[in-house]
Amino acid sequence: MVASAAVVPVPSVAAVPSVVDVIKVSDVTKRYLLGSVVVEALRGVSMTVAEGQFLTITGPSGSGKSTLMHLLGCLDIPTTGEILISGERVDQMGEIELASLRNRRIGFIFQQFNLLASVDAVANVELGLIYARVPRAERRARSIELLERIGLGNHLRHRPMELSGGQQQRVAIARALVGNPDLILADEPTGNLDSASAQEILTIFDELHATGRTVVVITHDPEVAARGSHTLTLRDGRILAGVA
Amino acid sequence: MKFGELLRVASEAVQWNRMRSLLTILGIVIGIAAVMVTVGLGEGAQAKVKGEISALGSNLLTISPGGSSAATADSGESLTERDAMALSSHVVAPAIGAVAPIVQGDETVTFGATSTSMIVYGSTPSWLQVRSRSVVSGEFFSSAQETKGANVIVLGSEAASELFGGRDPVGETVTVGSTPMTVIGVLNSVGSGTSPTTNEDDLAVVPLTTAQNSLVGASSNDAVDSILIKATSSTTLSAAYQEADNELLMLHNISEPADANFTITSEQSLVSTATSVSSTLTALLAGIAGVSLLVGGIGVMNIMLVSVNERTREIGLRKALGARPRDIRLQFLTEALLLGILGGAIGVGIALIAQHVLPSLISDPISIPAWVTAGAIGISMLLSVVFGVYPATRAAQLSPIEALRTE
Repeated sequence: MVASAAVVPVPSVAAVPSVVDVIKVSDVTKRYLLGSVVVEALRGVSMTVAEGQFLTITGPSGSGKSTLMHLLGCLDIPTTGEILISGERVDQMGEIELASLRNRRIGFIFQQFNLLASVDAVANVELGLIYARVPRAERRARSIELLERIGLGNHLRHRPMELSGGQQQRVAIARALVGNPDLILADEPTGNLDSASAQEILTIFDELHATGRTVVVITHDPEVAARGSHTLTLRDGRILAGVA
Repeated sequence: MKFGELLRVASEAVQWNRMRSLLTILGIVIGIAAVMVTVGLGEGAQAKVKGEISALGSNLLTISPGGSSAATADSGESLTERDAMALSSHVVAPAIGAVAPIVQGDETVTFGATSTSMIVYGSTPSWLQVRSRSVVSGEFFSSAQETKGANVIVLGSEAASELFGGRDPVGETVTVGSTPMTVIGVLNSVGSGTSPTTNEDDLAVVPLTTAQNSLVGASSNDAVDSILIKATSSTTLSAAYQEADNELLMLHNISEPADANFTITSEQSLVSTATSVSSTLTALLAGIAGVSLLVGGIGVMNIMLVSVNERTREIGLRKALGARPRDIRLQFLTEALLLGILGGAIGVGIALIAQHVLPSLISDPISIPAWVTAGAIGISMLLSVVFGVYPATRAAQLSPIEALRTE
């Protein structure tokens, strides 16, 4: 299963000349100021993620993983270089365009879950759809359907505090999927979970991959990194090893 | 985001932090209630004063003995019946409609076993016209009765009911001091709109001559305690003032107006002084209350800033999920607006309750006009939005990376 997913499925519509990579990063650098010190977080990174790939990005802390994740998630723009997400140039985009792109193309999963404590599971899942101006009835229907599929059908009205860590992360996964994004981007998704819950979540990632989703997971955990169809290792802001 | 959506998110946030929301709006609640009650007190006082103007008769001038300068201040018995008669002349004083010389004394009036103390005025039949009063039962004394000093008395409505209960007092005999007098009439009631010290219903009127003969404290010569003048209309009030002033200076052989041994006051000038004093006071108090409202607004800003800080991760998450800066700004502004509306509504509620409860405790009327209520809600909304702009802008400008990184 893992091997077959590495081969990018060629669309049956022959008129399409080439497959658009979900992510195409060309010679990207990122410098930022930390106090008065210039930090070179990325020193020339090029990579592509094809549709359907399950890419894990690993590396020690300070290697530039987080910076790369921010750039792939369109939360930030590079100092130099080009980034295309589903064919859209994002490295020159302004804040408003980036917000729209994140909303349409990217589903985020965080280590801290980042659920809103004040509202229930359904309201947490539908959050991104509000900004996509999806009508309320449709938002709720889609959110409930996803929560049921992910095994939380009995917890729709529960607030995050009433859920276990694993359940909270599943709510977060539902939230990432509800907008039907091109890319699922996860940052240490199992970092805050016990091993049983972590296995549950990783199984869900496997299933996502199996259904053709493009998944990028940032992790320092070798076991998690090994789950990917592809792996990249970063060190000192450069890609050290891996195929992508 | 649509406004309904914003309102829903805002009300969720307000409900989630109930206690904090309450504390946030407390300043606005107190400020709004304070401003409204203060303005209400001012409006109530104005209405009361306006009521007094009509009770007194707006064309009224009072001449009292004694001048304004130190040398003439103590010329106790400078006014006489003769002065009053001179002023009554339509040739000398065409702007003066009616004149009533007054002597007055605090007297004990007794009927059977009941006795009560009241001010008894001695005057002429024109008193009725000058004071804009009428007789509801019986009649007022005539000029003839006044001239010969008949022992007749006209009672104010409250005085009558105190002495006679519900019975008709006309024809009965009461004792004023030690003089028996026949009750010949009862005056109309002007209500208790005036202050307790000069109750216009708890009084009695007797002929001037009778008063000069019988009342304790009244001198037996033709000196009077004051002379009331009614101008022909409110527009001729200042002409009447001039005429009275000139005539009296002449009668008293005084060449310098500054040396006058009498003082003419217009009730209207007293009233307008009172009004302007009370409106100055109202403005001052409303100003102080307004400052407390401002402090309330700053309180909203303070708590909103804390809230933005505390919800940094939420802001980061919303941005990651596609919220534009304006979505975040609108979200926090709507929250501030909602807090403002809540604070304003509670403040208005408290003020409206105070309007009904307070007057019985402080004996001052409170009248809150509708425009004040509407204005109060408007101001609290405006205030919260104005003070919400800065926190909301701070929230909108947060970088999503920084916001998500915050623990």
